[in-house]
Amino acid sequence: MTNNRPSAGWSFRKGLLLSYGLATLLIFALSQALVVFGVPHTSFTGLWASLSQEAVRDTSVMADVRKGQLEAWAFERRGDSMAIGENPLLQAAVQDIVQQSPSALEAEVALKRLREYLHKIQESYYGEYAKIEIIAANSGKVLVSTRQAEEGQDASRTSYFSKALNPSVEEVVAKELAAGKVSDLVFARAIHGPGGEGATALHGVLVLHTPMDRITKSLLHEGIGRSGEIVLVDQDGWLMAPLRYPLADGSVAKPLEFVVTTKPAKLAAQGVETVIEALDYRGVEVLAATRHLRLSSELAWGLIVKIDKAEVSHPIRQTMVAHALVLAGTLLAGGLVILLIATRLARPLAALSRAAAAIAAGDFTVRTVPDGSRELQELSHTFNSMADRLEHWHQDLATEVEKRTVELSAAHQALLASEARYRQIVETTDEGISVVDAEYLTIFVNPRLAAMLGYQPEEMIGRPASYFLVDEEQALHREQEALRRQGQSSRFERRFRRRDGSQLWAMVSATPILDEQGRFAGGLAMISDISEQKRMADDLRENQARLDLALRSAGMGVFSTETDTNLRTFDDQACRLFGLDPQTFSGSAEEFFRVVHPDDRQAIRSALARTIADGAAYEAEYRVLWPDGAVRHLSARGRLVREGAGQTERVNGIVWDVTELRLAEEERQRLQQQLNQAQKMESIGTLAGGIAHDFNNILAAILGYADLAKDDAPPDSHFARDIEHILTAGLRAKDLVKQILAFSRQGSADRILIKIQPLIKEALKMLRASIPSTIEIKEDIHPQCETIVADPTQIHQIMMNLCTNAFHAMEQSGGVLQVRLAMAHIADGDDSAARQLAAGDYVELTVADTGTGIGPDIIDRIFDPYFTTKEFGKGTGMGLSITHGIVKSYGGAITVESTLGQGTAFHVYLPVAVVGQEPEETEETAAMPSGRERILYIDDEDFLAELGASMLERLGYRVTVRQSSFEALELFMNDPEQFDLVITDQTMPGMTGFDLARRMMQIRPDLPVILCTGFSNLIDEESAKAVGIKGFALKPLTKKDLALLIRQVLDGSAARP
Amino acid sequence: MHQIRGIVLAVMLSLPVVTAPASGAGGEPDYANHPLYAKYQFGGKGAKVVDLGTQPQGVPIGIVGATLGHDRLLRSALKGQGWEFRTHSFLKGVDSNFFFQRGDLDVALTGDWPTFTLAAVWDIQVLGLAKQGFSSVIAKGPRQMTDLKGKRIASPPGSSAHYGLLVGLDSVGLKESDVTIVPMEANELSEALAQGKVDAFAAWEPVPNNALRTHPEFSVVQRFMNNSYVYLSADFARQNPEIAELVTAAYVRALRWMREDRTNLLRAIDWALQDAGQMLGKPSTLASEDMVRTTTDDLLKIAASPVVPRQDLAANGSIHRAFTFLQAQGKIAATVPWAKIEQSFDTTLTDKVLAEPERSKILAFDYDE
Repeated sequence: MTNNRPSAGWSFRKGLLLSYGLATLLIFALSQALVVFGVPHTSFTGLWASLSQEAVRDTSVMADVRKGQLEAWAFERRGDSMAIGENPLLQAAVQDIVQQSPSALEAEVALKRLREYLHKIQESYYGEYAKIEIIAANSGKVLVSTRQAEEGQDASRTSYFSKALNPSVEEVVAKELAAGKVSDLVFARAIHGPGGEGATALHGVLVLHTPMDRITKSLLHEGIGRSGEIVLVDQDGWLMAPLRYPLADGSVAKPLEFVVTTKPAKLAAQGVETVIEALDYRGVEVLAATRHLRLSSELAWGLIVKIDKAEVSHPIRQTMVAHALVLAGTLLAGGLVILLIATRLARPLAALSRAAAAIAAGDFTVRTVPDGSRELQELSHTFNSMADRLEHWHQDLATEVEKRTVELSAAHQALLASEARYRQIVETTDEGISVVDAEYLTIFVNPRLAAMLGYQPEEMIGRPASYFLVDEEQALHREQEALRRQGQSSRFERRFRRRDGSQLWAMVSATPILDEQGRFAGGLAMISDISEQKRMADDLRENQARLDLALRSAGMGVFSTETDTNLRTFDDQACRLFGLDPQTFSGSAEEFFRVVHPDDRQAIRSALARTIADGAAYEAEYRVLWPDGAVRHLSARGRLVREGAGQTERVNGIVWDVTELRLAEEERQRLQQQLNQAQKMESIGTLAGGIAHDFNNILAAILGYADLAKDDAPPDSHFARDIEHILTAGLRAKDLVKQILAFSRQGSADRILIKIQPLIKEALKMLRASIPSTIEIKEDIHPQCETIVADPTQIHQIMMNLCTNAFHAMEQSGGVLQVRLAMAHIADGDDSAARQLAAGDYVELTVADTGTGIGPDIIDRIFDPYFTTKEFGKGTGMGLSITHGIVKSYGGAITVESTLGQGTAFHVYLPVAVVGQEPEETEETAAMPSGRERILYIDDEDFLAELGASMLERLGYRVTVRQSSFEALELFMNDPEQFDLVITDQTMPGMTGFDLARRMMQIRPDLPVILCTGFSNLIDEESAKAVGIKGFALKPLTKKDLALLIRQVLDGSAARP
Repeated sequence: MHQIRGIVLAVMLSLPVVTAPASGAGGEPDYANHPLYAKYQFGGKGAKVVDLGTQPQGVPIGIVGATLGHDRLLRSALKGQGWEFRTHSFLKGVDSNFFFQRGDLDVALTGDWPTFTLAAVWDIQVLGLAKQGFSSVIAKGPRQMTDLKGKRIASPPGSSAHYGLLVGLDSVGLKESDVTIVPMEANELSEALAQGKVDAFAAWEPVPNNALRTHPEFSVVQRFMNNSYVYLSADFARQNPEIAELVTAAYVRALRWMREDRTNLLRAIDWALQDAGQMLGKPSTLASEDMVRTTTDDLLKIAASPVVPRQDLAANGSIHRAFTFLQAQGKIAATVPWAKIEQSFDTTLTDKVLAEPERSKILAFDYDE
């Protein structure tokens, strides 16, 4: 019999006591935590926080009070020294003694009076000063002192005397080591008086000595709590007053002999006033308030008011101790009561427990005596009844067991004899044998089967037959079991699971076992191991599957070509790659070559022939045409094989689609060409910007001097006409530079109100000269076209780009170039090609040719940057892109119509500014204004400086020229009002025109300045005007440009308030 | 929920305060387009103009600067040599440093941090002490520095007060990164704390005193003894020694004039308040009484002349300590040697002026009415 009595665990009494104790402790700890630390996120902050804050506040207030006392005291002493030192009577008396060389008697009388005066001061301050003395400035000896015996002593080596003599020091506050223990604090001040020739002279030094202990006794250690203390140090940490406690080693620190190195002392000495928790000189944790006193710029004290942390936390500890005592008392009383109750409840239960244990041990005679409460007595009675019945049952059971044992012994002997016979047969066979009962539970296995499955025979007994089969065989097993139950035998393969988890393939011959009444009683199975055969078959299948998977993953198809019949066999994927239907593909060479691109058929035949001839690897790449018209690139690889007894020759291989690869390669080549083109354009841009400045300067000279020569030439003379030609050519060159810069995206567009008819005509005139006569140019320019806002150079550029494209399209064949300019009205809902435009009036420029036309496959890309169909080196690929950009920036649109072989027409729509609005008066029709103002003209180029001066003088201005910005600035600073206008070049060595203008305007903010630049990446009109430069001009400037700009700037300036 | 909404609202409202002024590239204020400074007319290099940078909101340096601007003796002496004197108001020293390095200023009055950081990168000649006073860290209720860990603390960046705050944090083992520094101008600090936009602020006097009086719930967490200095451009002093001496004498004279009579001090304070009003575009909130007390305590009561004590430059002196500290904090480049700072403190000019009081006219006064 098993003894189930618990060997560990709490008794009823102990559990009750522990529960009570833990609950009480938990409540106490929680209440203590709330009292001490408060409730988070509420205004109830708890004892700890409120006491800490109170302590911080108290120590701060105490420190402020003590610091105030010390400051007031020091200020009073300094006031004393000033009042005494600057007393005219005292100054006169000292001067008399030191300078006047009185007789000995007179000197004695004067000294006596001075001494009496000092004594009176000393007495009136009730011992505040230990000593007052005056030291002669010339000798350094004590002239007079309240300690008469010290008069005549040498004081020249004291630090305060030498400092007081320094004329840059008005008064000195210093500490002095007195003979003994405590220092004096010294307040010294120079005594001045009249010197020779009306000057002031220094005659003596007044010194007030005040003992430190007088200060420290009154303020230290009192009224700051039980453990509180005030520590006074100087700026270097030297102790200035006695400490309240001995040091950590028990020794006593003396003032001026001990450096306090605690953190609060360092902070106080270094000027930090705060409250911190730190260790003091004893190594005790304290709450310290630090204060810093500057007695002079050279002398400072640190004041530390501190109180022991233990004192700060004392009230908290007291509260917690009181709470703990109450808890202990409550715990004790409550525990005693709980103990009594638990003991009374537990005694009858313990008796019952002991009786039950005796019965469990086999003693059925034990009974209990009813005791305790009513419920416990009833429990005792019930327990005794149960014990009576148990005793009776026990006796009956013993008799029955004895009878059955005799019967079983006989049957067992018979069974043993029968079993011995069969065992010998079964254990010697090479096949596994298994016998199951009617429930298909294993009742016998022979050693061979156990060895096959990795078990001991006895381990297999009792387990279902299905236990030894893998999961996949369970369904088949159930089918076979059903056949056995129907009395059928069968032979089948079956996968078993070995003990180590591995599989065993076996051939099973199964036969049902029937009982005497022919009912199914179990089954017999003979089992042979066929694992090796199965493994070999599986390996073969797996290899085939891997190969198929690899080909499918790579999108590869498999083909086989018989060399003698030229018949082809394709798998499904290969058929898909060739665009063939696997169901209908016959494999004939004719059907195969029908889908191969005609240009590639011969290459396939050649590759095949080469492989057949010398056995080389078959490699071919070709295009196939799918039924939907798509062209795909395929790559094929294979080798020659001979198979079968007749040595049939075949080329077997794989084929895959490389279309994307080929397209990517083409795209890469196209992008590389675009990149090369972009880099070339960038180089041109950089070059253009680089030469623009110098070129503009040259043009400025050509145009400027031509302008001047024109003034001097007789009107209507050959000379005047020649100069006019120079001017026209120069202005064209100026536009050209501007165009180059615009093309290279380095120039800025100047949009103005214009009618573009003359521009179109001008461009056509230029084109006629360069277009061959095989191309006829027709123009249809409507004179009534309205004004638009545009940059003339950009309109010119549009014309040149479109016409040049047209020319290239007709270069080989000749044709007609048609240019038309007319008004166009776009209405709401207009579905014409220009329907992306807002409704309104537009000027429509049409450039049409009868050239090659543009194919539908590329017409969508013609406005892309760098897109070109021209041969390398002939076009940039940027023309139409730039044109498109310009037109879009005007709020217009460009459309194209083209038919291959017939020609192309571009339509450019540019919005009309305001119908009826005329362009501003051009320079040609404006008068050339002049003036008499004074102008400072700065340009570092010799000829441009000279040219500027000539132009301005001819316009009537008074001109001063400088070729250096520094010289110009210096001239200007000498008299900033001498010029009415400054005209400066931007690019100059040393200081740019921009900086020069800014510096001048710092001196004279209302100064009108015109900044000229050939070309600059650094400055533009907007940034110039942002700093107050009133005029900005791009070189080259004609005289008229300059004349108009000067008046605009000067008159604009004058008009300002 | 209402509380959370309130906090979110307060943070959003505080954004305009902490982001002003407009910043240029790299987070540095865009001084060229600064709403205050862009209109200033500096004399420029080579011009016969002495440009002084002052801080009307800094007491007492703003008052000293204003007094120099109203010194008729100085103006007259300069005019005799063809020179002019101009004063320019700045919100804080780091702003005036920018214009000093650009060559727009010849003389400036700033706190210790701006002075040291400028001396580290520019050649200046420090004439003397312009203040010895406390900057304070103010918070609501009694607190210790350790309580500020993780809190938002407002301060004019790169100022003396910022320096004092860093020293205070360091004294309790905290780093600048342990708190969130909220950049803010001095005149905005007190209200920002009152409205809960920040948890504390660091400022120089009289801002803390003014705040403590206006908001009784505020208390001082820490105070730190800062210095301020007056200095010249070394190039300017070298090229114009006589002009530099006139400016130095005017500085010493200003201190003596203010010491002489409280009425003089009040007059100087009025000038500083006018300067501050002009600069801010509205009346300054500083109280005259606070300014009188601060100027007296932090400058006029200092028992010595304006000369910088040599011991401050000694190995453990306050200036050397400040240099070491700021360098350790990464505020001064590690490559700057101590000698670069030390040589800036050249008081030759001040000594000369004090030694010859009659010639320097430091005992005679003539100021605007």
